[in-house]
Amino acid sequence: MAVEYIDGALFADMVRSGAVNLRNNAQTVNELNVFPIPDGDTGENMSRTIEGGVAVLSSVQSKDISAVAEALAGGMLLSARGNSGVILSQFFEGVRIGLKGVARAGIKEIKAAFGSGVKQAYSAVVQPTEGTILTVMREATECAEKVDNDKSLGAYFSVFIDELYASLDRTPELLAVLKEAGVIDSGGAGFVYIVEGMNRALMGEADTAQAHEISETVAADDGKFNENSEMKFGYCTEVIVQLLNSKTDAEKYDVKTLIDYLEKMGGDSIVAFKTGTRIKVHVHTFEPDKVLAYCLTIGEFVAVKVENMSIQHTEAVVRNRFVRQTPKKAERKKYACVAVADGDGIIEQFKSMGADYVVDGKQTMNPSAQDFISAFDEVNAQVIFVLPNNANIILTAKQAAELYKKSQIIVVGSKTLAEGFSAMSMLDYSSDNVEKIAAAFEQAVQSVETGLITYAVRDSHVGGMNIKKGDFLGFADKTLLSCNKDIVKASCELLDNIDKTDKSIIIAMRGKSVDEKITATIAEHISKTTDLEFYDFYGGQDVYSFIFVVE
Amino acid sequence: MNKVKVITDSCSDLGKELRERYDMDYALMSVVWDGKEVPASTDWDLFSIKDLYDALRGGKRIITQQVSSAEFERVFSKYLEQGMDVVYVSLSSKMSGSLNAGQAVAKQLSEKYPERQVICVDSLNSCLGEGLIAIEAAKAAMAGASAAEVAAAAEKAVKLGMQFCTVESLEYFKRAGRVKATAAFFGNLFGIKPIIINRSGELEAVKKVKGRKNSLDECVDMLVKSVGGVPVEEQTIYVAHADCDKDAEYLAEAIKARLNPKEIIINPIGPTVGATAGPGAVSLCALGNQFATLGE
Repeated sequence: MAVEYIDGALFADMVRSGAVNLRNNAQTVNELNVFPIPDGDTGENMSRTIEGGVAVLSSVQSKDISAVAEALAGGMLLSARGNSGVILSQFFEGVRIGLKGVARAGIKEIKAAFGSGVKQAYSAVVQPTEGTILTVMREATECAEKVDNDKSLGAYFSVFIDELYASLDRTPELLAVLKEAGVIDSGGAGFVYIVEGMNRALMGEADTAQAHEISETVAADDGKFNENSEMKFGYCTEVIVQLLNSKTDAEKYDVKTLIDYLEKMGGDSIVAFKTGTRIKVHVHTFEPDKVLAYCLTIGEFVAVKVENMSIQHTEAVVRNRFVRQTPKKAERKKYACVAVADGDGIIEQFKSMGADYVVDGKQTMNPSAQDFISAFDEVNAQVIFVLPNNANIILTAKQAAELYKKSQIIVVGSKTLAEGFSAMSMLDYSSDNVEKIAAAFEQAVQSVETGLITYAVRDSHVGGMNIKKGDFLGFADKTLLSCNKDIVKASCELLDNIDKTDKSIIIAMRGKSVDEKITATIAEHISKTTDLEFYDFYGGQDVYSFIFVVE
Repeated sequence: MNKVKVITDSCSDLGKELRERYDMDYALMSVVWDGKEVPASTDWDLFSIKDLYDALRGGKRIITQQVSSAEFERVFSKYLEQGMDVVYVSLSSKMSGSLNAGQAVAKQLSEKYPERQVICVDSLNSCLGEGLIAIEAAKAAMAGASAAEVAAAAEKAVKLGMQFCTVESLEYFKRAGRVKATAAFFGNLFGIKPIIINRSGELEAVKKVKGRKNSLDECVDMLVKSVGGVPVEEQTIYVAHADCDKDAEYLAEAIKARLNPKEIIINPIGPTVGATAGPGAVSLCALGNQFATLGE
């Protein structure tokens, strides 16, 4: 029988199912990257965003859809990361507004809610770009608006989803970069997976967590954790539990009971949700044995993963994500600076120049609004300047700034690490004038050309150049300026072609595996052909062999 | 013959030519170089400009020492014996103990030469900032002024003395502990050049500028905005440099394009200041109100 109304419980199930469907397809979304460079992370960002919303749903007491929408929006605002993630969180914020006071929603209320969602999403972006997730959600909402109010919700979602696909297929026509790369918009695709998952729950076929999703490759043990090591970071523990009626009431088991237990035992970064009669748990803890033992009292494992976080990933990442809380410094500073950076050398450099807190922004782990808020708490200052250093993080930072009331937060518009580096190097609070300090940051950002050297992950055709897999590519901003099998040639050609009007310095940040000798050859080329000063240091970043600051 | 001899010290960076032109003498500081104590001559007779700065570029630590009592006694006595009074214009007392040592020697000598006078004036300055204050005093002495009048001329110049400096790297200054810098100047600031001014006798990094050329331009700009007190047409503007004559010439040309001073003198930085500021340091010295440009 067709569902006529969506109440709180059904809406929660729909959102969970949407989150699971996106998670199961996150890699596909990641791969829809525009440039042939390995930075696809939209699927991951959107997944983390919606999962942050799902994680708080179990705490909703009311049966009203408005209450579920409110909790969801709140959770997503905090977990939002990446541009698509922020837009997604704003869509659900609009849905919350649209559903205010509604106990159960019929087609009329859902239309109004989605309409409100689109409006809110557009308002969150300073300059909305068509051909992105925004267009996809807007066109589907507009099209489904025409479905008669006496039709079923199923009919509404069916039209909605058809139009999502149609709109997604049109994105390359609206955005030249998509067309050239031969892909559709990744954020739009992520949104489609969510709505499809929601629809399946509406139809009574909710998506469930897949066991394979947590079998990520375990990070190689580099021998740093040895017989003299100290356990600093605990274990990242992820399990999927099949609830068993022989141990508990599988249908009725409330995941909140489990979350309460995990919180009581001091777990951190807890994400746990129930889909059908399975529970997925993610927790950081020093005592994974207790988590496993507890889970065995309610069911059996479908999958288990326990990783020592002192080995897992780089230490810098872990340090950011999970450190035992140190007591707050009592003294409140006048000014502080929070920067996002990646690469151990670059992070070190930012700190040495005066960044009070560096959020590790590793490509696959774009910081969430919550990460920023933790950083703001940590630095404890009256005025906090934020250097997002990534076009994809500026919105998240602004969202965090909106939410944070304890300090004056100023988000500097640094779109690249190079811009942020330049701004950081000009840091000077001595004028004791917020506008002046901010203006100096912005001025530094404006005066920088960013040069990037990366490698092609596949054969491609961009900007009239034929690119072979493995070629080194030189970008200025997003324009491809050089392409060569040889890293030195690709770098020199990039620096030859980059706009150097009124510039006096080139700083090369060397990527993880780049030999110093390569920089020396480039330095020689620069001193022969220009009168610019050339500096270089070990940046340790992953994706880019070189990040050049031309200022 | 003048009644008063103006004495300064190695830190003023006045070479033989300028000292003779203004009928001055100087008390020699010393530097410890390769474990040997060497007089800090500013006449390039004991070592060449290249010798000094190549040694510093090669990472050699050269340590500076204040004027010894014996040296003060030698140089003060030389003129007191000739029946002259002495006005000693010292390096800033905030940077060196030379003024104290000079005053102590002056007191001792007053017993031996009860008729004569030694007045010590704190220039609250260094490099040619100190040098130009000593020159203002020497001009008064050449015009036949008394010791008290010469000292007053020096004090007047102390109030107007300005210095705008930049260096290739703050490392030398930091190592010598001779510059005040806020947290803004911490870290490896690739390509960022500090603008350093003299504030009440101490050097202070006040501004960050990107790139060498921009930092040179900024020094000129600050100088142009602050020069005054004495009409610029009557002033000599000094360009001091630590083995970077091309930059010094660039600075002189840039000043000439915007101001019309009586004279611009390019002068190498001697061993005392050179070892503290490092190769590539430049300093523009003139009279005016340097805080005008800082909006203070």
